[in-house]
Amino acid sequence: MNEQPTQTPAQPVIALAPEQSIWKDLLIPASIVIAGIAIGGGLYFSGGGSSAGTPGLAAVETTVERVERLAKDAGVSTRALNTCLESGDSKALVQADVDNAVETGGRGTPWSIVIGPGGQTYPINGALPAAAISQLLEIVRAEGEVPVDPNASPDINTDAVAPVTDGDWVRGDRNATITIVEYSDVDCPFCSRFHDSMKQVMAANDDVLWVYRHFPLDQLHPQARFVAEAAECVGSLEGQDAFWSFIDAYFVG
Amino acid sequence: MMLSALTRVYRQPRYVIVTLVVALVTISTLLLLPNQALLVSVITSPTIDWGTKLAFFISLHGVLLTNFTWFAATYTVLLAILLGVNVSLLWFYIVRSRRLARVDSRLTLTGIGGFVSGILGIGCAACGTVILAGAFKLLGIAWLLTYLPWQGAEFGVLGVLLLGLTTYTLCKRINDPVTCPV
Repeated sequence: MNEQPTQTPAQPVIALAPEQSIWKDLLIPASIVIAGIAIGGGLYFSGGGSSAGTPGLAAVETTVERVERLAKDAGVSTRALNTCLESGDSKALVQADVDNAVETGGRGTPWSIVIGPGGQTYPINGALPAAAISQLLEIVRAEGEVPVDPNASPDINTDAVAPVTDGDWVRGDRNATITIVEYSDVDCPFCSRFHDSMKQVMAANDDVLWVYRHFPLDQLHPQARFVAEAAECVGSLEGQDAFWSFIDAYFVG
Repeated sequence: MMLSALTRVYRQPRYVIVTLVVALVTISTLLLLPNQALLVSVITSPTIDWGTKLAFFISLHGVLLTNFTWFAATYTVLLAILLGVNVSLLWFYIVRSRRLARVDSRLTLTGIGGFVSGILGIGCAACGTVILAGAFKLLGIAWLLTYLPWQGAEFGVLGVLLLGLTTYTLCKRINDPVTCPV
């Protein structure tokens, strides 16, 4: 009459546990690991970096036409622009900017370095909003000439930033106490956002000098280097205002 | 099925807190790591007061709107929330299993392994710009990116899907009835 099931001490573990194999148990950690790798890939390739399509022939033609139109708007004729581009001078200037960007630790765009009153440097990776830049400027002002060590990462060597010269494209007072050197790619959407942020920062701060240098990412934006060279030509032919007019207009699209 | 499991778990406030903390730490890490050198120099500066440091720390989170596409921002936030949910569910599952004395050590170890793997996975994700860039350069396949229809956002979507799958699996296990199988 005893219908009570009898169980050995080991049986409840086996009987009550849901049926599963070691492979089922591994599903959760394996999925999390793969998801982690996928997150990294996603952030590297799209979120934290630049995104752009691969322009075809039509896009190339459009870029050329657009550059010619914007150069004309800035006061440079198509003939003068082409002559300048063929001379190769602008090519060397753009390459010098790229070399300096890489030397300072730039691995993507926009890449910027803030130089404080005492020469201390602060690296900015990516497109910071205007509020964050303004907040950083407060810190730079507060630190004054106190030296700090911004090179927490061995990949970053912000002290290698090439000195600002008359040949640089600048906005603001050349005697400003704070300098922001930006290395930018004209076809990078995040550079466009940073450009907007910087315009807001410049409008609100008169002690900042904004230096624009080129950092075209050839693999992602095949036309960016050509546009950068064209911008150099526009600037060398018509001066600072023409350069900024060209760059501003190109970023607006 | 998922809703009942989630209701069971989040009836206890501590799991809500765990989810929020994990999600916030994850999203902060993902957003701030590219500027860790800048952040370290500011945080360690002896001349800046903590109020200013905190204000800068908070303002840096604005990169979610300027340094990400809308698509990337969406799946990044989703990933952080899903990871928080996963950690809570896994914790709940392990605690319940122990209480019922029905978990074998292999399962506990696998659960802990899953949690550690998740943390390691996020760590890898956050430093992806270093590890993956290096790996892709080493392999010489960086050009592959330009052939992907979403320029690599596929990885993020895959991450969301996999974490969704993990959430589903955990909910299913939590809902397993405590009865003898037929």
